[in-house]
Amino acid sequence: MKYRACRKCADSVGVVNVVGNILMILIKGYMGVVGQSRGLIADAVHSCADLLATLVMIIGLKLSDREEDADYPYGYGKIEYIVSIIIYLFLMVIAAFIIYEGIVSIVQGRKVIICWSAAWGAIIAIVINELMFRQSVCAGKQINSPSMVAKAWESRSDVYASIAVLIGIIGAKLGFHFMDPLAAAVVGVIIIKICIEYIKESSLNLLDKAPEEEILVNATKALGTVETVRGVKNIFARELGQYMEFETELYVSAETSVSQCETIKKNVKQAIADSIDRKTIVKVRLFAFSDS
Amino acid sequence: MKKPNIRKLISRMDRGLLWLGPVSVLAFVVLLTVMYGWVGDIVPPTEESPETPEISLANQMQVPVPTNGQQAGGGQLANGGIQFPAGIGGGQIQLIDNPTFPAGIGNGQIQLINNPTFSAGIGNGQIQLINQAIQAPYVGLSFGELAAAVARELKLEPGTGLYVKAVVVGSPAEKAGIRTGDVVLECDHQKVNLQDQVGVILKTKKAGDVIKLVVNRGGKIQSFHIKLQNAPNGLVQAAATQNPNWMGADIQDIDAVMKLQFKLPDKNGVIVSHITAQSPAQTSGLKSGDVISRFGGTRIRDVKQLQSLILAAQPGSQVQLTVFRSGQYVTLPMILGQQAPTAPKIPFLGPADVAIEGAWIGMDVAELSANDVSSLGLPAGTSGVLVADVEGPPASMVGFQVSDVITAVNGEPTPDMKSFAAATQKQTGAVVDVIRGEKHLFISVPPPGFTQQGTKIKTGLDSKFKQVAAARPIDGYLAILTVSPEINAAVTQNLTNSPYLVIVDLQKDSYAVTNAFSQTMISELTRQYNVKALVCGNISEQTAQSLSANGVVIYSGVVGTALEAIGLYQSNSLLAMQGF
Repeated sequence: MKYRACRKCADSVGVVNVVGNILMILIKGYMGVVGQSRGLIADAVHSCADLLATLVMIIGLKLSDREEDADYPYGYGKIEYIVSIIIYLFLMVIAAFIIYEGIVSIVQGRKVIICWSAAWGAIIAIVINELMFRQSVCAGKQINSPSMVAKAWESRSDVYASIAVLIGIIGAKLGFHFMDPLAAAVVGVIIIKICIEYIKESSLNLLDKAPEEEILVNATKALGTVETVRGVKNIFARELGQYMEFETELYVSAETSVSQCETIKKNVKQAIADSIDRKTIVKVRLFAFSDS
Repeated sequence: MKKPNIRKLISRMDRGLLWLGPVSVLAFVVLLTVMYGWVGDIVPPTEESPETPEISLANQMQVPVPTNGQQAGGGQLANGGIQFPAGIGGGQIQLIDNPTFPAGIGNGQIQLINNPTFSAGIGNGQIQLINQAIQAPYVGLSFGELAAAVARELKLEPGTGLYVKAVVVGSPAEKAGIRTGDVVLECDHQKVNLQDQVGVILKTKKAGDVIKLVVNRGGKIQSFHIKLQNAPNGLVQAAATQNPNWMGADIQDIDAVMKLQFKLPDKNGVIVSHITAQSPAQTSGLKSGDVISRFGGTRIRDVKQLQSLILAAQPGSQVQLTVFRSGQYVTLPMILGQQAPTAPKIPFLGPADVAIEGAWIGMDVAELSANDVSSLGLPAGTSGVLVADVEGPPASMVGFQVSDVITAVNGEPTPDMKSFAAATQKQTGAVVDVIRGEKHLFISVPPPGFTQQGTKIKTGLDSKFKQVAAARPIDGYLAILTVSPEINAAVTQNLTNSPYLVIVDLQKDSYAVTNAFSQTMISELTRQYNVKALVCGNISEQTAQSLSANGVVIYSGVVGTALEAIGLYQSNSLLAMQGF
């Protein structure tokens, strides 16, 4: 960490991203409507998709914090996925409309008189996006969080949409009227791509898809460090909202007493929780280990 | 989520509040999508290409004219009115756009439509006459023809009452409960059979007054009380946009003839045709013939733009006008929002007592007598030449009206017939100073063979009009291509949309309609019905050729209803298509 303020800076990344996104949406939306650029409006919708991802995550956080009750004994962890599937299906319809309208206006050869303010909107959006990227990368490096850096790179790709829009606006200004709706259609395609990704991810999580190999390998390794564990029979994991739920079946010595078993379970839970940097739920079942 | 502070923030949030986030973002997305569709609907303003030579008359006639009668809003109106001078110019006498006018403004405007020469006035860019429109309060009714069948059903004498074609949403009439389809019989205890009558009644009223309307609704007589209002913002603006008297300065758009006459670098700006004495405009130093080229920092293109700037400006604030005056730019300070002194009203003009008569470009003129001066309400001592009768083009085309007073031609004063004759002798395009009622304006007379916008007409103006006149009366029927099988239907602008043919027998004052037919059958139908004259909005050169080979005279470029077209035809105001 270079400076003392780095930690604070890294902590603020989330808030900055949300606020920056909201700001971008407002600027793009306003400038797009005032400047009469379809591309920029489409880009505002695109930013909305990003913001929605964050908001859905927040909702998931909040809802999965809710304790399980009699009706829902497994808790509310999966509601996040349902919400995000609904939202992204909706956005997909919007994106389809954007593409359709864009193509229609290209085919009809409509002339839309674009104002330079639209171009400024795109430029401001690009600048905000770039600044947010820089902050995330810097803060991520300083506090040694590769996931933050990776996320920053991911969100940097948003800027391509804005650049396409800027090109469209300039093109339309130069008299190539088809370029602005074309940029809008391109952004629409990007939105659809995002939607498909999110829907796919959410559906797979609903189906309890196994997490990446690495997580299980790490967990297995961690299990090896617990002394009394004689072997790993089985280990599964699934996403459950913000939690990662592990289910593991372990072999322990047949002579182990129940109270010792409780200690082992506690140790195992701790070991697995330490192997991954997110909240975990660990369910352990112990089996008697026989040498045969 | 690895951002603890977000988590903290969230944990403090109420769960109900949490849903607000995505829901509001989604709402915003919907809003954006609506806007997205809306942006696409913006049609670019008609591009002005006045300098390009006209390819054919029919071609020129296709200039899009907002004939959208259904649009009851005022804004539409303003646009409609303003697009005329730019795109169409004076060349097209056929432009009567009746459907747009009555919709929103209703009152004073009706008179324009009844004014037989107004069609040309619009083209000329002189929108002066609409001046009075704003003063009358507005009801929000648009009247139309009462179909004979409807009249019978309602047990009404044909020709009584006014059929309500549209009711402006949010207008006093709507609030009072008037509906489309009602037939207005009485307005303010007076029987009304003509649109003008309503306008005249309304002129005597002010906002807040309550008038009683008696209507026939489905055969039952009902009465409604309407509390009059001033026209809402949009409508006022619409009227104001067309009101070119600004703080005592009469202003108008510049056309090609004026540009030549005043040696202007281009047609941008707004020309001042007259300054009322002791008006704010005079105090600030504006003079007749000045071209206002900048308003504050903004470059002025035309009257419409200047009006929008004035409407947007703060009353009482001072603005710098940049004025082009005899080759130089002059800056004048102007305080906005002052009222110009109102000029006296014009009394009714009786038949001119003509002393010395003359004729010029299709109108009868006479020296202005002292009698005329007083009956016209002009300042004593005004001298000039009075327009006694406008007989036809080009005078009617360029916007002359009966009782206009010509005070100068090309800057040469014309106090009497002799000087007028001398000034008009060398007629190669002229800018005429005209007093019309309390207005002064410039009317441009294009050189023969040109329109006011400077576009060239294929054949000479004069010769063409003579030929048209000589060609009449035509034996056989007059036929009009319309969008629906009624005498009041709009003249079709697109032949591919299966038009109808309204066939009129002018001798017997009767008409017949055909079924919808395809474009290819026009030729056959015209032969079958012995059609000798065909009125349409637009026609392909090919069709026109084959028709004229059959001896059909074609009048293309007509906008308006079939009934209006017949009127225009009878008043010899239509130009035959030729030279294709």
